[in-house]
Amino acid sequence: MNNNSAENREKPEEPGSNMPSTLVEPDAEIQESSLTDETTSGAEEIPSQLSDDDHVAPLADPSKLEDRIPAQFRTTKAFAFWTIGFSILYVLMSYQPLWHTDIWGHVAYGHVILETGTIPATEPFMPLAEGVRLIDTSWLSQIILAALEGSFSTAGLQFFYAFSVTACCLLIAGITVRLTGNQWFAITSLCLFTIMVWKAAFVIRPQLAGMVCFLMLIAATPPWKHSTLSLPSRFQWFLVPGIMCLWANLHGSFPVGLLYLGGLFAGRSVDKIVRTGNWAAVINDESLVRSFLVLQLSAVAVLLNPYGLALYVQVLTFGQNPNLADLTEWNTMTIEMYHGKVAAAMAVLLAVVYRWSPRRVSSSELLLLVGFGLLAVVTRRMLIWLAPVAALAFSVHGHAIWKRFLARRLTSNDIPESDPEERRGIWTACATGSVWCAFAYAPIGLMLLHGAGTPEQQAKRYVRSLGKGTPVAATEYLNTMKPRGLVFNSYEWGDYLLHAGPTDIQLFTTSHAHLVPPDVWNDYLRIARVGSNWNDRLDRYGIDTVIVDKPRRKSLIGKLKDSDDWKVAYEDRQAAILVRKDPIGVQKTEKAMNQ
Amino acid sequence: MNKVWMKIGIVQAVFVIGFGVAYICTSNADQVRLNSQLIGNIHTPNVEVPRTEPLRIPPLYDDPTVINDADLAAVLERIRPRFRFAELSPNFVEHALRVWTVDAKFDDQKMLSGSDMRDFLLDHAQFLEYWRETKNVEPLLVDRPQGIAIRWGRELGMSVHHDHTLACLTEAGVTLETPIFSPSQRNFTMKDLLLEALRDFRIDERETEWTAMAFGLWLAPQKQWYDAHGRIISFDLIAERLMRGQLDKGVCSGTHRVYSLMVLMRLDDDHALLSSKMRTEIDTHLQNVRDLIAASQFEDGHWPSNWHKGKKAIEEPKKDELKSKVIATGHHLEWLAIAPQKYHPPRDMVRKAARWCVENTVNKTNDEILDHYTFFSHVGNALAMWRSQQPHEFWQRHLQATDEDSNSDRSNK
Repeated sequence: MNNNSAENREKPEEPGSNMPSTLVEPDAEIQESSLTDETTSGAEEIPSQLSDDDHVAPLADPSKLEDRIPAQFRTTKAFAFWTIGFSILYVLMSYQPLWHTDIWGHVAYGHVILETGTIPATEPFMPLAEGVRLIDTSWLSQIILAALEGSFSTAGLQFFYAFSVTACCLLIAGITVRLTGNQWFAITSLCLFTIMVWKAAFVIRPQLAGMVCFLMLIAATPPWKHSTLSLPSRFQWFLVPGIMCLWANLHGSFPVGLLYLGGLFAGRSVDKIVRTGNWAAVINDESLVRSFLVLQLSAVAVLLNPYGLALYVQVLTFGQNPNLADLTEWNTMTIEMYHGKVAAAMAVLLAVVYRWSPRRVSSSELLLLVGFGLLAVVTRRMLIWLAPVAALAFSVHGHAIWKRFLARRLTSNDIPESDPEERRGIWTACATGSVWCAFAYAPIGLMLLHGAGTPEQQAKRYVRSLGKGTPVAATEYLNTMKPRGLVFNSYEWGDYLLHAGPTDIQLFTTSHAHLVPPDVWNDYLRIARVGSNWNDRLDRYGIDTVIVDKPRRKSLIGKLKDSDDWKVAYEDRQAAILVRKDPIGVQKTEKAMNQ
Repeated sequence: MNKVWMKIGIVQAVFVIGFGVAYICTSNADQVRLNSQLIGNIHTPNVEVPRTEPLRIPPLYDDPTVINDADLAAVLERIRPRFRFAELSPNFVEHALRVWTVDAKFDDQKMLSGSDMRDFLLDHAQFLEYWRETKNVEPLLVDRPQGIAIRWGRELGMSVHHDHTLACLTEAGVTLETPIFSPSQRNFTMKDLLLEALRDFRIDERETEWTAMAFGLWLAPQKQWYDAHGRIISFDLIAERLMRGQLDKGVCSGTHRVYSLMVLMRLDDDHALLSSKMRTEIDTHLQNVRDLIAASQFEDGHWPSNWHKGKKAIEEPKKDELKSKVIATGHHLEWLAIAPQKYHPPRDMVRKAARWCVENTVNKTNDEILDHYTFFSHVGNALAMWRSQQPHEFWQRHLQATDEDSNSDRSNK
């Protein structure tokens, strides 16, 4: 044994060392077994048998142990840190309360599909939208969500959310590292991306799956040329259409992908023509031809969905739905909004890096930035698709500026040679450990490892997993009162009421506003905002029960309380339930008989 | 390079075949939507109209104890289409036409015949005859790129309710080939008006009473179709819509909804328009209406406008104008005339209501009738239906009988 071994052997003899033998002995065994032939050159110095006094074995210096993890599984310190970071992110996201709006509607659709084995042809939940054609652009996501919810309750949904968010961040960071080779710029990309999408994307909904697909698409075909990121062409033929096919079935945002591919092709063509001054150069460039053909194949791949061509019609006409004008997330972006401020700040940052970047600016990235930027201005919800492109553009050009800065400030001798980081098994162990911990401490992992628990535990966990905006108590009350007929509800709560309310509840609307007939939607707004003839509308729809949120519907609640026809049945800080004193449903069925 | 061209060829083939197959596999409704988006085609529901003459719902009773010939003649005499020439309201003509039908003929030249009334509604030139002195009045017939529609609303020269003109023409027996002369086109027919109604119908619009009736009388036995927005519209859905909400929330104190429901039930008897579940719901609904009107009739025989409150309507009477009472009583008598007996209140109540109607119609002056012609026209129609009479036929017979009587009196003298 070498000197280190001697040091280790002597460590237990230090004063104050009272390590229990039961703990130490196994360590000693490991230590001994870890020694290799090379490190046992001084083996004669080790007593073959420990004396009774020396029964506490010395600890080895881990830094000197031989790495027995196979070379192909060893990783770098950076990898381990990223893995730990993403594991922490995953766990944190796993405990994010579920947003109270459309997630429950998607789960409900998913359950219907799973139970019936078909996608409903018409809207199945809103009586006032009976017969309305349903082209379910998120059917696959909904099935996944319903399956997860069915198996793991809310933990399954939290898993979907955490997994999707982590995957998005992983892809953004991965693309940046590949493009720049710099971890710090990867962090920068992540930060910019997160800031830009904070208010829009990180709500659990099928759109998250769309975002993952978009980032996969960027990873497969980035707007910036880089040798380490360029896929072999044979993969692009299948991978890109494959991603688009998956995306088309997961979420209706897939045209963003086609726009992206189109933007890439158009930009590269422009660059080619400008560079060569020859239009024919486009057709002679094999990579350009390939990107166009891949775009075409992607457009065809999208047709592999339950609706075929009708899916295109649906998503391309979706924005024309008049109801969307009343939803803030579909409104035009203004500078007063968070989204507007963020977009403006990002535009300034990009202007700065483009001004100073030594890297050639491709037409593709400009086209994509301008195109997605304009879309975001028209509809603020589109900001999320601009975010990854903008964040990556900033990092790529920021990194180029940084490299030039370093080159000017430092002499060639000062610039450290890029030394690939040492790969070690310990980092693999750290990474694996963190992944395991993330799995084990996330709600879904806890359920898998320790079971669902008692019904009381499950109920507690369920309530804890819901966002603050969820009307849990009011819904419980509604379950006890079992309302008859149509229930007027806050639009934002429709999906949760569908999920947790009485099984046969007939809701005025859910958050799938595009499926609500425009006349009904207008009447919803008229009642909710106490417009003219609001009470006449309540009579015409035969509504006997109203459940609304107090912060947003104060006026309506006040008017109903003042009315002789209505009374408060339930009220808490969050919600109010009001019922008609002389219910129309009863009038219709019982009044005449009673008389 | 050959390899590149081969790839291009293969991908173009995949692209064309892929989209071609997808288009072929797309449903008709989606193809129409696609065409309307891509090439601006205006989507008109693809509904087959299985007849050229509308169905009729014959009355079920001929009960002289409800109204005798003399009283009926007296009432019909009051509601003959004797309108002021200038600014003739389409609403009056529509009501008169549905009562007297296109076959109506009157000896008195001041009366509009059935064909006059039909032409007023369907020929812009005829309409202009009555409105030429009025400035800024819009034509009743509206040319649309995809068809012909009726201008409706509260302004001068308009029909008052959506699809009321269509329903009245339908009830009056106007055939599908009847030509329509719009302000700019002369190649429309009644069928175009019906198709346009199918195109612009929205199940959640405020008034569906007349659309429901017209569609039932033209489209039966077709149960459902896609509307212009791709929504499946069925007679079940229409019936559900007609029953929705507080009972008095509808035109004429909610009575038109009951009439339209009864029409659908009668059509269902012969053409199976409704599901059995919906038929049961309508049955329950109509029986409830029966109980409410049985409980809400006043001693003098009239029904109040708040008939839906049942007994409470009598205990806490509403201060109704006469016209409101005429509306409620006349309309209830009208739907009861086509309703099976299970939906009737006791026959004495019907008799009392009829008596009240007669008394409050025959004693009115022409001007009083004309002021509220639309409401009184329902009274006349209802009473004629209780005798299973077509008003124009009854009137002609009555005139002949009167002539014969006077001739025999003269000869006796």
